[in-house]
Amino acid sequence: MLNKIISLFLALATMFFIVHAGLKLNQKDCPALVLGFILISAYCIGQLLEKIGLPGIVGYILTGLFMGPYFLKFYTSSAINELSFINNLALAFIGFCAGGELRLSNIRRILKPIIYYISGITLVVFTGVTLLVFSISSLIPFLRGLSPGVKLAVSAIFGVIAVARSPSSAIAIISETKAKGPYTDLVLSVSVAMDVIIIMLFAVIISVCQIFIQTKGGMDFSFIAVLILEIAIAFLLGYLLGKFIVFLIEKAKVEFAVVIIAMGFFVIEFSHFLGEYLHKVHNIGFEIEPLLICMAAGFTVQNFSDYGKKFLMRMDRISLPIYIAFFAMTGAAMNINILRTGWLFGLIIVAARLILINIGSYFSGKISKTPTKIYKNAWLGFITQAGVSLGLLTEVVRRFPDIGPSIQTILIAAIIMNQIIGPIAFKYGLKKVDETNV
Amino acid sequence: MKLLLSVVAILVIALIGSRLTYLNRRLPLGFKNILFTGAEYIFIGVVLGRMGLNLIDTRSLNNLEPFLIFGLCWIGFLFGLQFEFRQLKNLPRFYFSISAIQAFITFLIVSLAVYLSFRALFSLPKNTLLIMAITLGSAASCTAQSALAIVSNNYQFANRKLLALLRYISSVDGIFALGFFTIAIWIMPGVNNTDFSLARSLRWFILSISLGILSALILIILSKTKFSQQEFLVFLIGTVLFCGGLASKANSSPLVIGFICGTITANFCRHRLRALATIIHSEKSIYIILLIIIGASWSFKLDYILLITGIYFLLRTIGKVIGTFTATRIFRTEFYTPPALGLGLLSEGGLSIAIIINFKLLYPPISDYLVTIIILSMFVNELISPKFILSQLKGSKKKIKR
Repeated sequence: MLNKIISLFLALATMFFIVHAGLKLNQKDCPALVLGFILISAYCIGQLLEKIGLPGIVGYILTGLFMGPYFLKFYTSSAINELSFINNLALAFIGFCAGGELRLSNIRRILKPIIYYISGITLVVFTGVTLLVFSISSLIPFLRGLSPGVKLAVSAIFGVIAVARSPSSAIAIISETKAKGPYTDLVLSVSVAMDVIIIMLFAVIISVCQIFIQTKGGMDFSFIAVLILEIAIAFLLGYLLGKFIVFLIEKAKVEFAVVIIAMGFFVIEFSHFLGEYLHKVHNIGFEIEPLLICMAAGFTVQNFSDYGKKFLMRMDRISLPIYIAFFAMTGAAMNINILRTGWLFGLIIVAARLILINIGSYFSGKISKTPTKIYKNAWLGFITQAGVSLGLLTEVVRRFPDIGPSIQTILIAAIIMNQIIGPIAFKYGLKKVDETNV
Repeated sequence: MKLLLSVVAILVIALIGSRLTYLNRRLPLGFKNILFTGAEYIFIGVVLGRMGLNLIDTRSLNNLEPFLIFGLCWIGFLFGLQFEFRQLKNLPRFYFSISAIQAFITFLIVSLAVYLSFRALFSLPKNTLLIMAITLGSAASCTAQSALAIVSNNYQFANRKLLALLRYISSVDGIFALGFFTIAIWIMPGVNNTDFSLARSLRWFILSISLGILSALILIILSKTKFSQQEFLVFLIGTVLFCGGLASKANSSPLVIGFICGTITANFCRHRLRALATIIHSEKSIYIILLIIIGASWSFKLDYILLITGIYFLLRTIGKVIGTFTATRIFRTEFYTPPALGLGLLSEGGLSIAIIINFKLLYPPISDYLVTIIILSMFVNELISPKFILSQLKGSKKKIKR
């Protein structure tokens, strides 16, 4: 452990010398330096935290946060923005991994519990958080003085965001602990499926809320058809991409890492291009979620080819640096000013969400007759929150420019807390059900 | 439409690429060599880049800069890892001297002639012309090993010692190329400094060396305890990125600093062989991506360039021949060395491409010509070098493959 501390010290001292010592060096942000520094320091801090039983990814997130613009100032927000491209590639990689981890045979075996957990947690968390926010709405400054209808609509937005979770955090913890077993399968399957369901649920809720908040027009549910089409196309593209990856590995003998990087790049560019093109040329708000495409591609390689095991093995070989970079950058992108402003209401929502997830998963487990050991600990795996929730919040701000930023402040504060608590809880849950293999 | 075309292009290229893999056995050696070096990926880059479908546009290329720095440092690091002094001592010392002399003479001839012709063609500041010429000279002085590998895979040789000498030269002369390239940056560290200042250059030199040593130190300390292969990958990627980033911050070369870091690691890290295995495993992928990027960022203008490339190609060939001839006459070997042995050292992939990418990274406004010269010359050299190697290794017989 001493070696890690010395390495960390060396990296920190070098960065201090380069950034703060006033040398007349290249003044331009250097994302490669930031990334290298983040990898070394986050790894060391992650290892130190693992020594005391905490998950490495909490260390990665905290490193990103504390080395960044709000504390030690070793890099600026713009350097992190410049690295967003790599962050997207990492997200595509995580999507491939998450899809690849889902085996049809396992899903079939636990299909009933999956359905119960999804419905149970969604119902309890959504209803619970909505009612909570509605009941304390007079205490929330930007909701004071609004009509009950608007208050309820805003509360529903809080409710729907609270349902979202993070497959990327789940997959990182599974990879770190080398976990295997029914509990792991259940948490991962529910997290991935929720990623699809939350997008649809969010679209429905936000459109209903729009009527109450902006009081214009009637209900138009044609978007649901568009949404279903978006998801269907994402799955279809993912399937084709998965087949193409198999072809490239098998027939063209192209290097694996090149295939994955190229495909990740292609998916991200394709999704953005298509979204922009349809919006500009045909004024259609049609966006295909790149993460879904990657998940479907990974799922295809795993379940519809002979390369599933090999695919996962190769992905696993290169996964650690990608997870470290991804979560450290997530930490680096956290806005502490927002946390300062919205921490109190954020904390209330986090606490309520924890209780509601516990209740929802307990009853879902009982009804679906999941083994006691699993259903008593299942809730611990459903706390993580990250990327999708932040993406949905951006959409809230876009649709409701007046109150959207205030909603965003509180919920980002809550998400930041969940990002730290979630992995700790999931690792604890995995240990309790004895599915870790480290 | 642009996207659709790109998709079609990628599919077609992948299909053609896979077909070529199958047809590989029937292709002439020169074409085999081109495929072996992955030079076709430059064309994939061209198709996807600003001269083609612009799918990898300027914004994407800017975003890829960290990867470029990483890739260059990775190649330098790999090169440095192969310089373990204990191993080098076991080889005959005059081999090293022969490599040094042939690299130096090639460098001298190419740099001098390029400087003079550039001075006649372009109205650029003296120092700018000088660093352009030195960079081309350094790229010319190194030799790729691919053609020798292709030839020895397909032929049996009577004179095995001569082949060993060629292999040794091609594996070692890169160190001199990196040394020459360091001189180019030493003259002008940073694109904004057009005037030479000894104090600034010395400070830059000491800082650059220190950064390479420091990065290696971090890797050595990290790898002192027990670790998994995944963790080792984090150490390597982290160190290489950190090292490359520090180089970039100090207006230095990721390639050269990576080389320093690699050499220190090779001689002081007990896991050097594991590092070498890991780095070599990913080398091809990284090199391919670098080739795609250089293809995508390539801006080709048809003016003097074909003439300059022709001159460069000719000078490099002359340099290699004179350099090797002089070296083998000063340090006589116990076996016969043909007078035009330098023709066996024409292959020019790998390091010269890395040098030119590094130049582009450091001095973007003046790099387009140099990139074009190296890319075109590389294609010609890879195509002809197997034939020239065979012409020097007389008495070789084709291997019969089942």
